[in-house]
Amino acid sequence: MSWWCSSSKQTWTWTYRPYLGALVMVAGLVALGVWWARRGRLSSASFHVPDGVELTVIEGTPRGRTTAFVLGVIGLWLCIDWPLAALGAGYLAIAQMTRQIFMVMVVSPLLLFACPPEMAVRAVGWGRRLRVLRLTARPIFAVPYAAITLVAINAPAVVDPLVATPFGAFAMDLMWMTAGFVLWMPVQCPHPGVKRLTGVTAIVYLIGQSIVPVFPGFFMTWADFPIYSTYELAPRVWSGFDAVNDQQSAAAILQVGGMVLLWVQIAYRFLKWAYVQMEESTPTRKAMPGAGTAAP
Amino acid sequence: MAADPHTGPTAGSWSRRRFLASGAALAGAATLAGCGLGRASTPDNSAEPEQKGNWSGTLLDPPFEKPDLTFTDFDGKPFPFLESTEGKLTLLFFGYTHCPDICPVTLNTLARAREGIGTGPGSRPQVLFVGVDVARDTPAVLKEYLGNIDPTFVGLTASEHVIAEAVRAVKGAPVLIEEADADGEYAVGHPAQVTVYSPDDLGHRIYPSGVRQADWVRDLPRLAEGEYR
Repeated sequence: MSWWCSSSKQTWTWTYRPYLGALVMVAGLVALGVWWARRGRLSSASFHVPDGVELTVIEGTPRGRTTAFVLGVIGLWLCIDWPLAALGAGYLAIAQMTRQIFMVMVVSPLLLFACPPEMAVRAVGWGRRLRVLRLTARPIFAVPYAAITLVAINAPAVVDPLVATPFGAFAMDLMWMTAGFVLWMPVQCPHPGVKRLTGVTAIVYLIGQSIVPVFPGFFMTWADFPIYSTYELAPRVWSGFDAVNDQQSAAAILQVGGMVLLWVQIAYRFLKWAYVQMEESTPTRKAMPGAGTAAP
Repeated sequence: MAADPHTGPTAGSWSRRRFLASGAALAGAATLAGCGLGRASTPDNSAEPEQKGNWSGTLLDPPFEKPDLTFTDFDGKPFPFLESTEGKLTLLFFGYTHCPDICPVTLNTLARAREGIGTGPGSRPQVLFVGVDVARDTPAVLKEYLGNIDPTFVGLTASEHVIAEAVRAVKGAPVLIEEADADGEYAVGHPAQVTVYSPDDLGHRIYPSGVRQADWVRDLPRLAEGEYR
């Protein structure tokens, strides 16, 4: 049993292989969720707020958080365990890009949403760690951090050595998740002591982040040769699907798939914001029942 | 927010410090386990190509002579090696058509590299694939196999004795046919390197498995023009 999925250079087989690290991580998250729920904190937890702290309203119901948690954990498990992670680490760039996009664009925001504010307060508190969290939740930090990380961890000089060992592959997956959390932190931070971007500013922020995958995707699309030696020299999973086809398909997943996932959330936030705007203007109209009728 | 933020602390039996310490311990254990368990899957780097003087592969000094042997090509015609390759940039590779990894990767890499060169020197090397599994690598099978990769590649077969002579000529590892499993499938050990004969009819460089398309695209035009060091 290996710790984490990495490149093995052996012929691919559809025989299940367990990966200890993936099982430990998923089991740890499930244990944390069960522990939190069994202590009755889903609906009745509370926390102390220091004087003078302005609280951010954290939206979400216990049921919504539970659903997000379950989906987030299942999504994470699919991404870090056999077969997707094994294919991504050593055989197919499309599998690796699917994992990356899913972890950054889906799993990270789901887990941030699933985190109850009480748990965030318990973990971070109101002191020095909160100041660090506030910094990471600012676009001026989050935009360059997520952009640089996502571009760097798609560079061949980084990918090829990292996926060669379980420890390196594990580090890369952690970097993806960290980049995902930082990317979503300004709009989805679970700590009530951190101001979130809302409305139009959140939408503009996410549109800005949707540009990031274009850069690595560009090089993957237009390179004359396969840029990752791992996938170029891997035994083929499907005959006829060579390394260049794989790389170009991976670029499409990175650019199109990533953008679609992000734009679904941008559209949701826009519609929600528009709905709130309409709700706010409704009482004004109701207050003038006779408006527009001709006077006798 | 569901909770009343001013109802006071509810630390319970787990303080924040213990909560974080447990997480850190779990992460530390995971990291240590990663270091320890990683060895089983560490790839074999012994096949990495030697990089010297902006060439891939290894310079042969003294160079290999061509073997004076006659194969059968995938059309069933005799293929006298010396005459058929005279004055041509020739790439000789031993493999078998049921090979799951090295053979298809190497042949596909060569085919894509040839496309990458396009036209000019090195764009039309004579790529010879010797099927060492004589029971299964018949001329017809070789023709179909190579036709799916690059129709310009030539498949060769011969008796086991001739193939063993040819392998010895390039100082390759001897062919080893393993025991068949219950389904009748078996693996075949074979030399993994590509031997390159320059137009001067001498083998000046060998390329181990793991050479990339870009490396072939850089080296083949120079080899076709007689450079090798």
